[in-house]
Amino acid sequence: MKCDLVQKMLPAFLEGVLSKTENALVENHMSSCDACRAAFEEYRYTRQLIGRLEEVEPPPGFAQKVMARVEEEERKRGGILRKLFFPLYIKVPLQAVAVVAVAVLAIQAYRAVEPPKQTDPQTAITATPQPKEDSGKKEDRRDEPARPAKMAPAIPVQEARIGEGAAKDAPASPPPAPGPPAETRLRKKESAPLSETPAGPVAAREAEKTEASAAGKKAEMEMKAAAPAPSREAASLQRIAPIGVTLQTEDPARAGEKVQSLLREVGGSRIEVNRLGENQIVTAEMDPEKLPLLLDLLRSLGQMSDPPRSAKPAAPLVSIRIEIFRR
Amino acid sequence: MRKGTNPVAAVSNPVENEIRPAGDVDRDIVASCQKGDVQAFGVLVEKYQKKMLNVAYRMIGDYQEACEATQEAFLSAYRAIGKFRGEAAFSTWMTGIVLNQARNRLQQMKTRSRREGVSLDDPVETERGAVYREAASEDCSAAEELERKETARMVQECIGALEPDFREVVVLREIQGYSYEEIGDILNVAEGTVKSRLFRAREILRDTLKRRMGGRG
Repeated sequence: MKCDLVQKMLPAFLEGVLSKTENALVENHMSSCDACRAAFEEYRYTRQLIGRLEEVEPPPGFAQKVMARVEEEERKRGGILRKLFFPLYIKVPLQAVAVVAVAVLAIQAYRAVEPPKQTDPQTAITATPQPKEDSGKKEDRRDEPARPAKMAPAIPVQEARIGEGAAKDAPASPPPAPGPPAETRLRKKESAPLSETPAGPVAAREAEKTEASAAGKKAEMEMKAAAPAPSREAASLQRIAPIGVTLQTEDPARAGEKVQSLLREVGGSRIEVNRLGENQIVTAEMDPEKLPLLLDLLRSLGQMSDPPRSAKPAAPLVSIRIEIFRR
Repeated sequence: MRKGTNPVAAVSNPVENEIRPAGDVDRDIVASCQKGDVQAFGVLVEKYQKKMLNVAYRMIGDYQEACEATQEAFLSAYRAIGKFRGEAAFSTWMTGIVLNQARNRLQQMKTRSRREGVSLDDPVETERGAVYREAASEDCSAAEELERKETARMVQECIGALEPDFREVVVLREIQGYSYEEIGDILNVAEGTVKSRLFRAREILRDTLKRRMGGRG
């Protein structure tokens, strides 16, 4: 075996990574070759010297120093991330809060605005000087007690609740029940300008004007009566549309009591009385069959305006609104 | 793909028995680091600080510079931990980073020394702090200690005198005890290249030491 080949194998021989055969070859060669043996000793000495090198120790607090830098790095990274997402962290909750706030405000505003629409107070005033219009109006009877209190605070309003419906209705505040149908509300709005018209000659002129429209309304009612059996909803609508009657008498207070008495006699229910000064408005529900009888009886109490002539109502109950004025 | 230590080689090779990269052992800690657990990285720093500092020190030959290079290496490792796929052991991966830092540091030092010039009276940084080149003490034990230090310094100088490619393989194989396979992984070269570089490096080192040490051995 040649020396250069052996000397190339010497480091591996030193490391002990040669095969048994190679090991034996190298050992045999070195036993007879001083140069290769010397080279082996040099390699071994070199390796010994390197192996004797002591390991250095890290300075005290080295790991802590490294970690301090790492944490600083982390803070910077976090800072960058925070800068990137900072607007989101703020904006998302802010937007959520804003949306909720807007929603709450909208609900509050809706609630605050809705009741006056339901109980248009001007119609209450209208009811007094415009008796003829009442026949055309389809108002929710349950709103009536609130109207004088809201629109005519100067007039003392005293409400007497008689009948089964009285307990349900609050005098000063409108009921939480849903408002009148859209048609009713629309009609109330249409009648609003008329409602501001004061009583007297002007009122009479207005009454004449409205008579023309009353004819149209009468035809409309007749059509309704001729229509096939109304649905429950339609029947309910018809029930709450009162038949308006105006009664002029010397003593409205006494007449009011008599009217209530007569209504009870004819089996009227939900009898309610609104007092507007000395004038009164009595509302009730009754069997339409007994309506002619009631009207006859009412004529005996004073000068009465004729109610709109209509076909026999299909509803089982009819609302009547009797407005009593001093003559 | 080269992965971890060859168990057969580890049994047959006494050097490889000394250091066994703990790829599997560190996997969970590395996973925690990748999830953003800074404290887990602290565990790795505690575990490998000495090993990495020694690699850097043997490569650079300057204790202070080696400490700074190691710090930078750990910081680089932390930044890049998300990219570590675990194909090699963490210590193998980390050693590669330390070697890169050491190379950069050597380059900087070279540039600096050219600019400033180095005096023989300058202190020499060692693992035990700054040591001035001074005459041997009369005291026997002190003289022995001094001689030991001087030998160590000389060996380190001989290692430092090697070309970086040869120095790396010597440090990784002779001092750190990595297998050829691992060295190949760290340096991203073939195992044959590692062997040939190592053979050449040993030859140069043997000749240099023989020349420097004279009749001491």
